[in-house]
Amino acid sequence: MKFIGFHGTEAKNIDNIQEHGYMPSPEDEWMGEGVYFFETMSSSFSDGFEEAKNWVIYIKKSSKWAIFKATMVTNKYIDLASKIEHRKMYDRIKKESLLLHEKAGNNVKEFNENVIFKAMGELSIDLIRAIVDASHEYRYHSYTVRRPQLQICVKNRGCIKKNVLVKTWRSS
Amino acid sequence: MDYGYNQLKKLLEYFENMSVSEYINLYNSTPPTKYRILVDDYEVNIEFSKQSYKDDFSYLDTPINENKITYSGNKTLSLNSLPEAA
Repeated sequence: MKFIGFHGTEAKNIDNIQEHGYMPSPEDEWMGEGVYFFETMSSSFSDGFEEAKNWVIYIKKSSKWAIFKATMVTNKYIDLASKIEHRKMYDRIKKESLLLHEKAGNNVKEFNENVIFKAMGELSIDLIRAIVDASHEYRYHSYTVRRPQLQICVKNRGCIKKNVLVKTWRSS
Repeated sequence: MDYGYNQLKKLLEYFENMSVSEYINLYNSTPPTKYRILVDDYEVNIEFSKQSYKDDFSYLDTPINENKITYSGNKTLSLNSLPEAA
């Protein structure tokens, strides 16, 4: 299976990434330790390139940015976006971990799914793919998802078969 | 079922057999910000900046030599020859 993802970063990291590859983020990121990419669902739903660019400009607050396009090839993946059997199994895992959370005397409202992704670190998988609601608002409940993102968390960088610098702040 | 499904099934069994204290340890575990790497007779310690770690994500993709690095050993150490931190 082939996956294509976009990664936004600060321009100062271009040489390092091209020479040595990516450094993984630590395990308290939303899908745990790994290298994160944005995938395009369809440009009207979520454009991977634009999401990567927005992330580096507005979250990392970098005016000098760069976007890489990577190709991952693997059959060792978990797909919580489009594989219904994976989603069903994930729900069973979440139910078990919620039970443990309550038995430990914690409030269910304080449960963080990151605990499941932390445990996934023990699995032998190359990547996880999931849809994230980037418009999530903590202050009130909302039924609508206004900004879906299709994200890929690469656990094993060996599955990155191609990595190309596609755009920088200079060429925009 | 496919490879990913079987891996998730393993994870379900892991949670089904987990004790409450094991869960608490997993839930409260903090990500490593310090790494100790042994390269031949060098001991290399790398510490990521907690400030950047929490505030602006700048630890991501940060070249290894921009973080705090100490080492012990009696040879000259080339940072370019270091293995990656995680």
